[in-house]
Amino acid sequence: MKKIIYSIKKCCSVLLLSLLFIGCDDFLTTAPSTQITDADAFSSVTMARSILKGIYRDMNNTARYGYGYHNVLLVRECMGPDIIVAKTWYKDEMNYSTFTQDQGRVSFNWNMMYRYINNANVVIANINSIPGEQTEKDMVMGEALALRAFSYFELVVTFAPTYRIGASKKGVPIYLEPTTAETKGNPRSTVQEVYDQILADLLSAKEKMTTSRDSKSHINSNVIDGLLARVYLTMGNYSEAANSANAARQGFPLMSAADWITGFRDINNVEWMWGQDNTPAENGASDCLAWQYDLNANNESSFHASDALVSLYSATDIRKTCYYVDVLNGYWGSTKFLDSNPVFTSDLTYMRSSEMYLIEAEALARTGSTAQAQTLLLDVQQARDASAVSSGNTGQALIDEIIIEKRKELWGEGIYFLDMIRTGIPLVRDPLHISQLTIPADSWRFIWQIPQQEFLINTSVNITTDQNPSSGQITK
Amino acid sequence: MKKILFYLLLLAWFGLGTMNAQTVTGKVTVEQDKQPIAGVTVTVKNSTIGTLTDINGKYSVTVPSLDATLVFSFVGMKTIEVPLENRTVIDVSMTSSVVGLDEVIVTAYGTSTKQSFTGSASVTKSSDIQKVQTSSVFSTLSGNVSGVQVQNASGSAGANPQIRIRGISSINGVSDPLYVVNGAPFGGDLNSIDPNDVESITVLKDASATALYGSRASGGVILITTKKGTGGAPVVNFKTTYGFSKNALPLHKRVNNAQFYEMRWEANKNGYMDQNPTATLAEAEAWATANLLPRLGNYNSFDRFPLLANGKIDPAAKPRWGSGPTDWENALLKPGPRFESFLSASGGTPSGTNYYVSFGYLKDKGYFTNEDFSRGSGRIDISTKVKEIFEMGMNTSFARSFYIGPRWLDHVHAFILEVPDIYPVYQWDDAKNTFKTGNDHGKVYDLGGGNAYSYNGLARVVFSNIHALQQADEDITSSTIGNLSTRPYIAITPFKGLTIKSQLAVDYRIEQWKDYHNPVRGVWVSLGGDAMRTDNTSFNYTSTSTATYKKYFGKHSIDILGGFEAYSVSGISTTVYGQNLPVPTLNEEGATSILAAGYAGLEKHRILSFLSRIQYNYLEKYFLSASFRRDGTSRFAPESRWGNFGSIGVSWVLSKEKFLEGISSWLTDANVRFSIGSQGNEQIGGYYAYLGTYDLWSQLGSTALSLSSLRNNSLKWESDIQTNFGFTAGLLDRIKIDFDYWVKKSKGLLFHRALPPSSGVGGVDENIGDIQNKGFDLQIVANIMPKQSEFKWEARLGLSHYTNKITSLPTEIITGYYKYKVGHSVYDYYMPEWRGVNPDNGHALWSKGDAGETTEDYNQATWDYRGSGIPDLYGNVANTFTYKGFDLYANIIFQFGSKIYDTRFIRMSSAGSNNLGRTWAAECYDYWTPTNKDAIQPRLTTFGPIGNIYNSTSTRYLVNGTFARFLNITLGYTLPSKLSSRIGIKDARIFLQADNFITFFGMKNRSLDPQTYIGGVGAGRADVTPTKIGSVGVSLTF
Repeated sequence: MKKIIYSIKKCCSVLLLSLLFIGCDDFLTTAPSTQITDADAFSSVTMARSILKGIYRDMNNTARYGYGYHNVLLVRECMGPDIIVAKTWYKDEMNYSTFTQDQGRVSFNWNMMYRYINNANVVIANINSIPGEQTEKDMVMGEALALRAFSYFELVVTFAPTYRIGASKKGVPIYLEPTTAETKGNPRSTVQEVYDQILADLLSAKEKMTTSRDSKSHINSNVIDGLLARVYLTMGNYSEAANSANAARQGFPLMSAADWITGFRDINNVEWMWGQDNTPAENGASDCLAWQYDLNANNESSFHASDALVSLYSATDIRKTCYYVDVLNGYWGSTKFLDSNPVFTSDLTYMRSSEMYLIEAEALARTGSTAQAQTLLLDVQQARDASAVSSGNTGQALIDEIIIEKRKELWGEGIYFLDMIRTGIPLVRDPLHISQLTIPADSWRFIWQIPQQEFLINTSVNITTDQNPSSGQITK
Repeated sequence: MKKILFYLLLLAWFGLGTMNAQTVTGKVTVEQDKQPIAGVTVTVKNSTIGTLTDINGKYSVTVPSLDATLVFSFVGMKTIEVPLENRTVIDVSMTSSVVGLDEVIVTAYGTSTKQSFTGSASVTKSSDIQKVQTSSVFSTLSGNVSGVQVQNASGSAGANPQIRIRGISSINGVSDPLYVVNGAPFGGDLNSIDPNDVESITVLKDASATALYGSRASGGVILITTKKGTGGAPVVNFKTTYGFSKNALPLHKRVNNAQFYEMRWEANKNGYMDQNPTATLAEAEAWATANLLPRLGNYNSFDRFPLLANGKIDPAAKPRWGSGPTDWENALLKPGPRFESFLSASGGTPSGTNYYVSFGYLKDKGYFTNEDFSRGSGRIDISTKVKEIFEMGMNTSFARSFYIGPRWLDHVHAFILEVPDIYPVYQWDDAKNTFKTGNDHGKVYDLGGGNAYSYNGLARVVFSNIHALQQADEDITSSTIGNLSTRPYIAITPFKGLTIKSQLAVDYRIEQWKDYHNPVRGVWVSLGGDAMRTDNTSFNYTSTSTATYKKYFGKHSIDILGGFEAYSVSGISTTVYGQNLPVPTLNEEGATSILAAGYAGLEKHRILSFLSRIQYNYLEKYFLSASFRRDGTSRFAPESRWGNFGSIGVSWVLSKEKFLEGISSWLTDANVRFSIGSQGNEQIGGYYAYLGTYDLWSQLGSTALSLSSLRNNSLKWESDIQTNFGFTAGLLDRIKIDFDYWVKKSKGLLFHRALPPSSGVGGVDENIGDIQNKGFDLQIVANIMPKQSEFKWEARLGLSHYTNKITSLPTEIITGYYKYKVGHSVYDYYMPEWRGVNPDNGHALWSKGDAGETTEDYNQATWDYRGSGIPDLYGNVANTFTYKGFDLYANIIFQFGSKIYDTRFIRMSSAGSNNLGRTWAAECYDYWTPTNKDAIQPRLTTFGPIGNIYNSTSTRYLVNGTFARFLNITLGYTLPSKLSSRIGIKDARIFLQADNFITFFGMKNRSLDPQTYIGGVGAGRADVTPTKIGSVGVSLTF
């Protein structure tokens, strides 16, 4: 009987306990344990800046959204004449077979850059309504604008004809506000409009930022000038390109010949202006260039240099010592990028001052300042080859020599291909190259198609009128 | 307050005690063989007094007076009512009731009889569940229940199927049914339930049946009831089977090595011409020849250069390690043994305590090399009754399953279907002209990685340095799932008619995933090998408190239920990942020298519910049931989280009407029913669907954030209104027909709407659009032979049909292979139509416009609807024949008129421009050349821009999904009881079972399982190929 009474009591108390839940939303309010909510993201300037750090992290990302920005650079190299992919990864890119609308490669770049852009837009839209020091907020605003400009430049050089022949052609959709559920999708702006936006963002960012920063993996005013130099050069505004390149490289002298052959893996190198600072904690897998270039790094690494490239170096050029014959296949292996210990933590360069020297040189050569151009070129050449002397080239020959110097200096860093499409150099591969592909200058084959998914969802674009051709010549 | 209530209850109880009680005893047997039946429910009509028969079929029940009526009911038997008429001993014989309306079924929060049930439900009994021998209890449903689609999600041993009840009610929300095990939503591993333990599975289909689970019932409800103690002396059951597992369908055939070289050469030649339009044919042929082997990593499976100058196979070339195309298949697939054993005991004490205990063990080696699934489980169910006032009990089960398989089954199939056999499984010794000898199965793996573990140091150009068999042997991919489920309850009947019940359901589940790559060979050597463990622990509890009040007023009876339910799940996920292991014998993370990654998170989801139901009947002829439920979920914002759901249902037992008495000789049972009600769905995204969130990570050690999801505070319950009209008719006491016509309208679908990729955000969760499903379910059960016949033949036919239609959607949405548009179903394929190969130039053709025009330009191809992934009609035919001790059962499932998209074939039919080392499907050998213009495969070329688009999405990969399959065939023999009882065995049966033995399917040689996901996409992955199992078994009852 006692048991029964006890049970009845227990039963009643369970009922009463249940009654407590009535109207009580506490029980029903749960929150994630490894994410933060939108309200918290704008609780302070520091928190908002963390969204920009999220973009930097996304650039060297191996975990959350797929692979990072180094893929963009690797693919750009594969599209040029100087990389031979001996094994599987990136082989399709070398063969130009993954740049059509239904290929994952095009979606990867497109989605990644627009992801950066939206995160930057979120910061731009909200930063001024957060309590805090205005100067601090300006810095964050400037950095966000610069990251947005960087992303649009990446998009426009990949998915639209180069400015020289395509200023009035279709560029990429521009978004300046954060995406909401109501976002319908924007039409393709013209290439000119995209460049105007990039310039506006960079110039505004430059006003807000200084040379100071907490890490070389972040953008500062030097990097903004460097981006401006690339953009002006592409637009053919050579005097501004020269000014920007000069401003950009201040404080970043050329590295020594001895440093050049240490394997391109330390962001603290004096010449590196901006890069990816890889750490074991944040870089568990393959997110560095050495993953592909350092043939001893892993069994998948298989990027070799072309014979055409290696033959460009003089015998006394320190850079030549980085190439050796791979006994497995007879191609040129390279020690330019070496893996670190622990593996895959080699840093990655996004921008170096030697590029700025050469941009400045080219821009000066194109504006008639031949002597200054020759001097800058020789500065780079002598830094790599103590016995280098000036060729005395002038005019187009000087410009060509500067671009070839870029090809030699920046091999593997995803720069030379941009010079090819910017200046109209055809793709010609040497006879020993594994992929005998020849593409004339200004071909649509250099320009990627926009992912099919964009046309399926974005009602402002139409696949029949807005898609890039997959082949044929770009006519001005 | 509590005290007053208590005294009131006590008073009522004393009131009961003053009645003039009498005891009635008796024995219940089976009409046909006079065997006693244990576990028959014996109740006093219009009261809550009752008991169960013991092992000898005996019962003893205290009745208030000797003019009462006793009701005898048992699952699968016709219920019998016997007026006492002053007798104190009542013996009855029950007949089995395939045709009865009075069959007892388990329903939401209680039981009911078929005739009084206003909803639509189908019951699968223990005897049918035993007939199918997969590890999952649900596989049996496809052959026994109409309106239910059971789809194989994976062919791996121990996989759970996907189940859809009455169509697809949601697009992005989850359409899975709610699983209720022993009275409470189940949060454990479905695979932890041993089918041998299951007493019955009830599938609740319409709103009236599911309404009490309304909040989560839009996908229907599956109630699983496990066996309980039956009272009396112990009954011991033992069952064991032994058999073999094999893939039920053949894999897609590939070209052989000679054909492969010829096709590669052709692609090289054409690719060279495409890239160099000015080149001569001779130049192209020379280039193709020179580049054939280098572009394949210099692997030559012949003893000389395999081709002549014209690109055809050199007849003088002799194969070395084989001519293909089944070397990898033979190495990676291996039929495995399957063994199952089960022991249970049940009984009870005279004082009212009943028990059931069981142990089960299953081991299934599957059909992949090195696959192994094993499960051990135990269950105990105990309940005790003190007088008629107090009952308590608990059902507890524990199961642990372990699965180890070759690294990702899809990866294994990629090897079988995509790697040509010019790449040998083992290293070849050129000098000795045989395989190298060593420790790997007596041979030496060829990793094809261009290193010391590769044939002549060569590198394959597909899966370089990866070897599915070596990985299966040397790496580990395994999962261990532990599941503890317990359902303690107490029930109090303070006075006649009122029962207060409180049940706590706890499901505790631990999943441990292990992934290990050895440090010696393979891709991961550069990391020094790696090891990862992921543990997911979930703790679910559901606390349910209900009060039920039943009252009879002469011809009327009423039954009211009210209650609360609190549901909570908390899941902890932990991952540890490390690299660099010293030796291959150590594979745990603790042995790694670099702990490279880790993760831990605790996530919670909760639902709070208030539920009520009233049931009324008049003369046991007219039934009414109405219910209401209110639920709040943590998935939605406070202002949107509550949803209200209700239903009303009526049922009319026509056969009890006087005006039908004239035809009662042939219309033995008849009932019509109608119901309407609403059900809900809240399952979308993660647990925090409405929140705007940022992913949290780090950049150089400081916090980094990335936008993850956009906030939507107005996200709310998806709800549907379902109308059901049904009837049941029993004809001549031998045929039962069950028919339901239903319409289900889902509103405010939970939808993950994709945003343009250029928006930088993948999509947003919203309530968008409406869907309507409507259809019918028909089930006919017939005893073909007369009752008296010794030869018995029971035939069952199940037929279901439904249509799915989007009735409202703000914009048209193309997603995957479908296009969502008003008037079309969510599984209507939308893509260009393949028009074969242009005989003039070998290019692919697609339809352009409606006038039959074609185009070679994929961008100009017309996209249109190309058929549906939903079958027009599906069902099953099951026949059971019994003669003396023999029984034969055969169950065929079928489906007509659906289409399946063959994604694997896409990769097996390329023009040869991507991934040069990938092989082709055998039929692609019929490729276009100037001399073979009438080809099915377009002109081969390595030139990307042209060749890439040939295998773009089109009807080329859409196949007819009509099929029929012998799901199960069982032949058994039961020893005569005279014979078996002599050796102390009550019942002995030996049997042969065959699952998935024969499949009739037009595309069955394409690695496609037609019984795969609804909508068909994802098919073509051979890893969904089901298992064919043949076994012999014995079952003994003591």
